Amino acid sequence: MAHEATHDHHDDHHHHAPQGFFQRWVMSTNHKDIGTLYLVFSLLMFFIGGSFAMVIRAELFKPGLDLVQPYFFNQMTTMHALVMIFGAIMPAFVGLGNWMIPLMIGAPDMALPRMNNLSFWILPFAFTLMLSTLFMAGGGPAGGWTMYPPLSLQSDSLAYVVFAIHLMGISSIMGAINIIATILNMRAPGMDLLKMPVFVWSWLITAFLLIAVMPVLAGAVTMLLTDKYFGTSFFNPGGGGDPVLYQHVFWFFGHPEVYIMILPAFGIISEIIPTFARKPIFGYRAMVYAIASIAFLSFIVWAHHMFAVGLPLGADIFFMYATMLIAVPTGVKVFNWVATMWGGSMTFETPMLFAIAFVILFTIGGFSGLMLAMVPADFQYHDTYFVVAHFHYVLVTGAAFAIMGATYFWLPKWTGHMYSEFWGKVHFWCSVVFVNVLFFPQHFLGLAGMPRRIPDYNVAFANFNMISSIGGFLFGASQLIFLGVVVHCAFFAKKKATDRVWEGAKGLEWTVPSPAPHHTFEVPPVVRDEELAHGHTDD
Amino acid sequence: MASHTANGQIEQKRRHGVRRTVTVLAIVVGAFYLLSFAQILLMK
Repeated sequence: MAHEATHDHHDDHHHHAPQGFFQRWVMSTNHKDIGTLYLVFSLLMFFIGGSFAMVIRAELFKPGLDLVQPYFFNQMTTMHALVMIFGAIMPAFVGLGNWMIPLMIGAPDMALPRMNNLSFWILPFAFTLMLSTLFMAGGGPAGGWTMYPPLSLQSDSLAYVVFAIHLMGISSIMGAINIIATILNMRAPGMDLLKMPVFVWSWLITAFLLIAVMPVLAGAVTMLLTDKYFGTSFFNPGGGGDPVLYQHVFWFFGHPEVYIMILPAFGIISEIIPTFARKPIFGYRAMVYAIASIAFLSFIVWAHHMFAVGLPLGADIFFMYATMLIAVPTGVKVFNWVATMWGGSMTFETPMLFAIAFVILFTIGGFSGLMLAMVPADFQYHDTYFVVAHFHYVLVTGAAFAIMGATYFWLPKWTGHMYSEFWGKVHFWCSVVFVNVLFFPQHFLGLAGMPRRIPDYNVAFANFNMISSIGGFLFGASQLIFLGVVVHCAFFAKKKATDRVWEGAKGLEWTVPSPAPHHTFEVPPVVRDEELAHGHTDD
Repeated sequence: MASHTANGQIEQKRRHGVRRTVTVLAIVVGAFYLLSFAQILLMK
């Protein structure tokens, strides 16, 4: 059934972006401009975090290299994680959400545009603060991104990092409130909740996760701060405290955080696959319920990160089974993506290649996660390179591949030009080959017993480390192709994009011109069910 | 004219909805933060 709203078209061409660099980019309240700012920021952080990874892989190229001091190596592992998680992956998803959510639901902008501006502009200050610690006398944080006490309390830069994390948390919470308020209130007439694109659903659920867990992180790091500077003993056994308490509080935040970084990726893949399979998504409602189930389960699995601390047996068993339960809704999603492709009229443009690679490689990361969920096995794998391999399959071939796929998918809509399909594919094939050369051998290193977060290692681990490092350098270099394709498309490309861009693209975002005008849907659009990506959902 | 009225109504509905949602979410976030810090103070 079609829902008639008011106008059948949107007269978007009359509105232009404000003139002047400062006015346009610093004072912006426009969701598209702020989305662009987030995406550019996350790309910058991706390269900074990536350069830290290069230092790590260079040091681990051969045993006994000693390229950098061990303490600096520890700073690199810590900063690499903090920058990639809070600076690259999360802002990239917020940027994609900012750009696409209003377009997908037929809203003129985000519900709270000024707060949107503030959410973004907090981030550069937070990261400048955090990265500046690398140039201070005591160096940056070196106790790992988890900041376990008592190790993290030895760092002189703790106060800077804690303050930076508070700023990031405030930015994330404001962003989450904005996204929820937008999705719940700004939808075009006829865009019912169960007609929204899966990407919008994934962000709605992610935003609730953010609101629930960011204050917990703020509490945890504040306790670290007071333990170090104000004489408290939350985590100090000498004063009656318990360091394991920190781990519980941290992972109560940390596990949902993992899903904050993957649920929007699920949403992206659920947009790309139907477009290039030219079929509605298989099991739309199941996809939405699966995301909600994963989000719920994320709150009751945190202690699987802590099996090795010596939990009571009952807790071990509970957290093991609860964690394994996550495989059920995740399996539903993987099944539905494959079923969407099944019998579809598929073509393999760059976004689709990234989506297919995501489905296969994320599943590998999921399976190694299941292995880690088993308590007896985890005692063997804990704190080894197996864990490093596992979460990089989830976060690089999962989250980062989804972000790259999304960039290729929506870039023509953002810039009005087609990117170079040839160079997009070169980027894809280099990335997919080298990412496996980089991370797959780390499974073997972990199973053989190589601990994570060490600057040097036994010669027995030499060969796989060298292969991994070569993969790392080449994967890093491959991302320069990505940068080149994006910059070329934004500033130099000649081939104009059509409004719909992709033959199989469906949804409101493809009804606006390419590039999307500065203001869209000021008049609420008509929502027709047959135009939605997931087809009819009434049955 | 009719469509202008309809748009005005949609706009007003959105405004009220946003205000309500933000109030509820701000209270939830504020409560979470206060709870975290109250707990820190109590445990101290």
